Amino acid sequence: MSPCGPEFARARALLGTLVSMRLSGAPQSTLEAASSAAFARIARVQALMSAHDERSELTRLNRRAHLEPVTVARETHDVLCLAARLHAATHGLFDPTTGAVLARWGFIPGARRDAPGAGFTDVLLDDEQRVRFARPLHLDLGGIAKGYAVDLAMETLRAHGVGQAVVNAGGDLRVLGEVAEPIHVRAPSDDGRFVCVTTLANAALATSACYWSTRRVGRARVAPQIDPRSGRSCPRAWSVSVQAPTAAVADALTKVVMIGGLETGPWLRAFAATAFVVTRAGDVLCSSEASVA
Amino acid sequence: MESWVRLTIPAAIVLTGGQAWAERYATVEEAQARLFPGESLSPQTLTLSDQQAQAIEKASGVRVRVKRLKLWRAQGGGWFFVDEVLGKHEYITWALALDPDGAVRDLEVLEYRETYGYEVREAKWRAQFRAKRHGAPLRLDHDVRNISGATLSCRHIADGVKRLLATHDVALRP
Repeated sequence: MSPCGPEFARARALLGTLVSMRLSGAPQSTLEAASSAAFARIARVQALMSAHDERSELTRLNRRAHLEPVTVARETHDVLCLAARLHAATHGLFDPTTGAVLARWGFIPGARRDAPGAGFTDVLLDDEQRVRFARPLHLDLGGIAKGYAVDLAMETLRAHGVGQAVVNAGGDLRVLGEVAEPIHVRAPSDDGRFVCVTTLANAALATSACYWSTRRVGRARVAPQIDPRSGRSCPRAWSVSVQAPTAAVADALTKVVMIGGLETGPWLRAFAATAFVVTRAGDVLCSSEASVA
Repeated sequence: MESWVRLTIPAAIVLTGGQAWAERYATVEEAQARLFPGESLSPQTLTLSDQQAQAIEKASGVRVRVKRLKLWRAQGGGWFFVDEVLGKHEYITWALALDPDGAVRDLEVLEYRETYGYEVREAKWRAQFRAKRHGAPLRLDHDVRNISGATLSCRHIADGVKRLLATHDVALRP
């Protein structure tokens, strides 16, 4: 990163992963205050949407929303509205109601059963931030909340007058500023190699891959990427990265490409997104010719 | 397959591993200034006895790997630890600040490192790491900032917090 003025960096453990910020383009005291405020917003998203927190709003939704409407925070409502748009646009391929399967396989806590055939269309939102489930559901926002948290952090940094920043939450990252940042994606061979797939200015990129998260369930190898159409895991040996204007959209679309494969081009374009698939053999496939440097 | 394109060099540049690299976020001094603003911190020497280590392991459920603590006492009575936990292939250096009553004030990650080419089996890897520690410093090859990949879990840091809270209870609480 070529800093303009002092460079400030800070990293914390949040959202179940390492969240780092590198800032410049403002006086030191501004960068410090901005990063504290930005981390506070990330901590709020964690408190609202963590699957691992008994007291989170998400846990409350999963326990109560099929019994009575639950009023949620603006952030939770925003995420659910975005999830609904993505669900509709991808014909249900993006569906965060796969929590029951994830819990059964031990990826997240909770033993709640969902009703057979339940899906995101059973999540009902109104204009007053109330959420109701038409049937018992297990919602898991792990596929979108990290990206959303990064977006909120970025909004805060911008509001504080930070000129250049990279916020990186466990690989879901967003760049603020005109100076293009090179992005290094881990090769799915997980052998210390990285592929510089693109450079980013004022954009976000997220990655999904299974090389660190597969588990054995019985005789099968499963990964936390679930195809909502079948309820089955799709542990591809790919690394899927998506570049998009926001981190939340990038985050969600990585799952769509991982599950839907190379047929998902039109959906990427609909969200002004580009995908980079790194295969185990080391090939890098890009969904858009326009992105080739 | 539609209009997907296979990227070729220079757009797909593979940076080879085999050596170590690090992402540095903050120094100990920077973290101290942030977590205890305006307070001076004095370094403490504390090496846990076997008994203390066992008590900490029992209370926290987390193994005590290192008995010699990197610890500072803040002017106002708080505590500042610098600790290391396992990341993927190397250690993460992090700092924990406790209030005078032993409650967590805040924590920060100072440095994240990775190395490859070693067996991940602990004993052999530890020996390599120790040798590098006392011998030549780990060579940092490339500036691989802005890394995106599978999500690294910070579970070990959460375990580290439990271990250090128990450490405070066992060895530091008056």
